[in-house]
Amino acid sequence: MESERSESRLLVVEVLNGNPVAFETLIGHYQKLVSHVVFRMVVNRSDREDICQEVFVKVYQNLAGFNFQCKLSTWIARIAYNACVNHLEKKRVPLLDDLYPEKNELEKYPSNAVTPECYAEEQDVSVRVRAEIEKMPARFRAVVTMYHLDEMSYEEIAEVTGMPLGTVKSYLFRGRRLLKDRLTEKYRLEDILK
Amino acid sequence: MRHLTDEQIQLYLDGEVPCDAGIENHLQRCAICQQRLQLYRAVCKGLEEDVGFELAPGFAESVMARLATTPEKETQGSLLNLILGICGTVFTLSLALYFLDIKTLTHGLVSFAAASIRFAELFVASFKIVTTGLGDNVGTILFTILILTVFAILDRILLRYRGGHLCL
Repeated sequence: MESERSESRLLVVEVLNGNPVAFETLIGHYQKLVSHVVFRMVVNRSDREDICQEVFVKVYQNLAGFNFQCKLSTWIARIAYNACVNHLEKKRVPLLDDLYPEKNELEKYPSNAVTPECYAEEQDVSVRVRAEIEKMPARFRAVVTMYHLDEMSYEEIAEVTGMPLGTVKSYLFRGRRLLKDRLTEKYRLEDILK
Repeated sequence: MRHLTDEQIQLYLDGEVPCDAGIENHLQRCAICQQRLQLYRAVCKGLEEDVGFELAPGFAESVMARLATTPEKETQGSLLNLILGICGTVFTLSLALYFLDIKTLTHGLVSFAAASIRFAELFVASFKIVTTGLGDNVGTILFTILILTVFAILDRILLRYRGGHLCL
């Protein structure tokens, strides 16, 4: 943890001294994190790469203001998250809907009906999980992704998104519950658990 | 036997309930909860698969190229705007003071202030007449509406500020 901080401190100093190679290194270190957030929040494929670039441009422009009060990864993730929120707001994509308005209203987020032909193709539960994630509202997708792919703690996610800790937990739990329910609706138990 | 809640199972999976013998014992004895735990494990496994997030090769070069065409720093632009704004204001005020008759200007401003105060007094008096005419309850309701409106406006301003400011 401490070595990670001192490593990123060195990197930031190098970038601020005008070393372009250092910034390329920084991009290399954090592009996975940024792509996780952006690709999960923005469904439109043609916009994704552009937003990722925009995020790193903002990182570069604002790096002098980074005061090491949090991890560099948390700061970069916050820029990525805010860039996505702004993009989705501009496109008028709903960021947040209730996943479970009522039990029998689950159809609001339609799940793909699995026909016998495509059943075989969709045997892979992981593929199915990924497909279901795309149907969730953007903020749920972001929280679930940061927790599972970027291994952020509840507290770090709260810091990135600006949500209260309880809201982060609630999004994570409800998101995973929805995914679990979707899987059990579509698959035989033995296929899921094999 | 009471089953574990979804939240308890997920907290257990996240390692957020360390050494909870109650949950461990229940999971060993209850096949239903065990199955639910395994379902959540399958979901988490799917969520942890890092597939489909690849950026184009040469992404770093694209960012560097974009940086080269982006203005050096937005803050520099805004600082320049601020300086130009201050210079413009000082220049306009100097010109105005040079060409305007100060006495007339002062007199006009004093008259305007007096008229504004009279208008405010009239407004307050009218409000009092209306509220007393309609009774105490209506007065309270109007006061509540006023307070709620102020809070709504503040809320709106804060939300806008948050949305704009956080976008670095």
